[in-house]
Amino acid sequence: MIVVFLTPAVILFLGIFLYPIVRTVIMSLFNIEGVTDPMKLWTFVGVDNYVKLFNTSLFRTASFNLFRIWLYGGLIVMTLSLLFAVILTSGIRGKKFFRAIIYMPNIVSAVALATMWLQYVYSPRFGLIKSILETLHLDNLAKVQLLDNEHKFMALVLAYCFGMVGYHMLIWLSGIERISPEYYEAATIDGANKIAQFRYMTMPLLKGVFKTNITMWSVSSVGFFVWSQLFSNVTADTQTITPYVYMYAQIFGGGNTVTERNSGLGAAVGVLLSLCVVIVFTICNKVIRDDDLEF
Amino acid sequence: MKKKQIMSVLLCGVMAVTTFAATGVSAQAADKKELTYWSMWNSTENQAKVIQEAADAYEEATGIHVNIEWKGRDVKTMIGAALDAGEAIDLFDDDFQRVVEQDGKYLVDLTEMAAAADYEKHIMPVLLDQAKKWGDDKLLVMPYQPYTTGVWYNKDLWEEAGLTDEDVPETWDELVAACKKIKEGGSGLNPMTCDSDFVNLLYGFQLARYVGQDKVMDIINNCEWADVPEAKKAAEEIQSLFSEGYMSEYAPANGTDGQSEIGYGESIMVLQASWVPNEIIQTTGTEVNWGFFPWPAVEGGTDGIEGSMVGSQGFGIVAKSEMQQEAFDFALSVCTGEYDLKMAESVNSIPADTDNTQWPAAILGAEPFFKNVTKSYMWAVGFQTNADYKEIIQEHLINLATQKETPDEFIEALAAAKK
Repeated sequence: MIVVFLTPAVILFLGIFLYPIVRTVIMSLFNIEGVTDPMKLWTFVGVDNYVKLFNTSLFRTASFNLFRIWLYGGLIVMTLSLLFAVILTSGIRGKKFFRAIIYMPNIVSAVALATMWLQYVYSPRFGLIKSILETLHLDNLAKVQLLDNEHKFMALVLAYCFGMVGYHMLIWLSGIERISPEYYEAATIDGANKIAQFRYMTMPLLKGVFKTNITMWSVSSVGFFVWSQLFSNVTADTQTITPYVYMYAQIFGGGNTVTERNSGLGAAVGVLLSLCVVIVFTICNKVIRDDDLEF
Repeated sequence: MKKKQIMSVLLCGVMAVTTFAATGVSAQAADKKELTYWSMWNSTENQAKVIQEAADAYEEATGIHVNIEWKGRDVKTMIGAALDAGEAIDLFDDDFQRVVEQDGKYLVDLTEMAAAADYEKHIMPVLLDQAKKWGDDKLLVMPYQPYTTGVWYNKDLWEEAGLTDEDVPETWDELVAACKKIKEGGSGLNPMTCDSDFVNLLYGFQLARYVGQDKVMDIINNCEWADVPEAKKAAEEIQSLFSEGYMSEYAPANGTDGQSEIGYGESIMVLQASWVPNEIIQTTGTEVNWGFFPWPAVEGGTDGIEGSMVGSQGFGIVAKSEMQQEAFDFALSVCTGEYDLKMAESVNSIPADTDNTQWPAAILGAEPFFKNVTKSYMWAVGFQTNADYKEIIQEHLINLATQKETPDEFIEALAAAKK
């Protein structure tokens, strides 16, 4: 009987999850022109695709960009989202309103958001930042082109973070609201102020949520693609390229012209990115232990 | 009770009649021939409207319905996978080089059908040569909506800046002189502008004028930047356009902000493909009185104004299609004759059919030069052909334009960059 109930789930799991993973790993060992080419057209190259990736300066640049997005963006998003979550759970008025406002960028299409940042905020002609700086008579700063090679990366990260804060704030909120208010009442009676309560109660009890947030952030960062595409028009550049964009260019070709394609190389990028997420998840599990507290 | 029985009988009757009628309709539908066409356009684009009109006319004339799926530019990523998966597609379109080089394995050789319809004489020789070269002498693509590339300028602003037709440059020195005259004329207009994605056109054209397309590819493929003195010379000259203040202060601009300056009446010239007049109308809503001249020749250069980046969109007919002839006939109706002319008029593009000699007014200035193009350059003279290298070239070109790198540093950086 158990077999009857399990079989559909097992078949679906094998077909939808395991098969693509195994096929991607195998593909990464071959040179494949078109992503759907039959196996008879594949050429076995062993680990050459991986060697080529590590020797390609553009892929190294893309990986470094991803690391910077993960690190800088992670610091900004985690800090801001936690701050908002703590403020919203501190009993302020209009909690639902502010929660909706902060989450709103998540329900707006990334294309619309990026267009807003590019055309409205960063525009060197009439951008919000330029106008503010000019109002403050900081004319030299107002002349800085925020979308040139020097500043484009940070402009991209800031815009991306704006869209991500709300999502992670909700995860923090759910964690904080799980903590019984009785603990805070007891702490208040014992004389602990808000900062001490946050430092010695909220933070330790949010370790599990922190782990979830880091994992979710890593997964979404690894798939960094749309924002990169939107911040670079026809072709990606060294400030906006990420491994996903590089993978896309290898599989489907990039830019206005015909470029050499190798889906095997693209698959190798996919395998490496998956390994990155697994490594981050494993490190999080080892470093952050949330099974020492029960509440 | 009796009422219920009567009602049941009536309902059964209605069901039977409906089923019979539906079967009849579907049988009739199955009899009707249908072509499936995956399009690179979105249904709201002007090109799509002309193609839809051509499809309706084709159906009226032949009774064959053209089922058009508007896939947009993503057709380039989807078509191979779809055909491999057995999707029944009779024809599709995309950039004509990509149709041949990337998807040629799915396509039928059109040589015989073209001969029967005497089609080749309708194709511009420069496009036909390219298509056959990529297709190993087979005709795998039917070009339409061709483009050429050169300097587009706002004639009214040109005159406002105190220049006449005699100032239209043919050489690099004359271009610099024209820029200088505009800048010093006190009109406040920027002589030129550009967008960051198209700095490669500026440097690409200048380098190709010195050494020709093939040598440019050698430089890219073998990292010969430091060994070819013209590479540095071209870098110096292009940088001088920026350092001398001949470019807009926002250039190289993000997106299409640079080219829009022409429509806003701030800048006079932009180096772009022949789609730019249409794009500027769409973006700024301004009808510009356009002039055109090819990128100028340089002293001692291999190529003159006979070299240009030309290309087009193109239809490919799928080899597995059971309606190849019908697909060819439909594509032919778009690529030639009335609908080719309609396409040209609706998007200000070059007519593909050599019999259609009337160019839209916006791009008319390019006509005499286009006819004399004998050397076809790749897009951005091939700076985008290497997926591992193009972003690096792009980065240093922007640095060159923004003067963050000297021409020496630019050459050094590109020579050092490993492919």
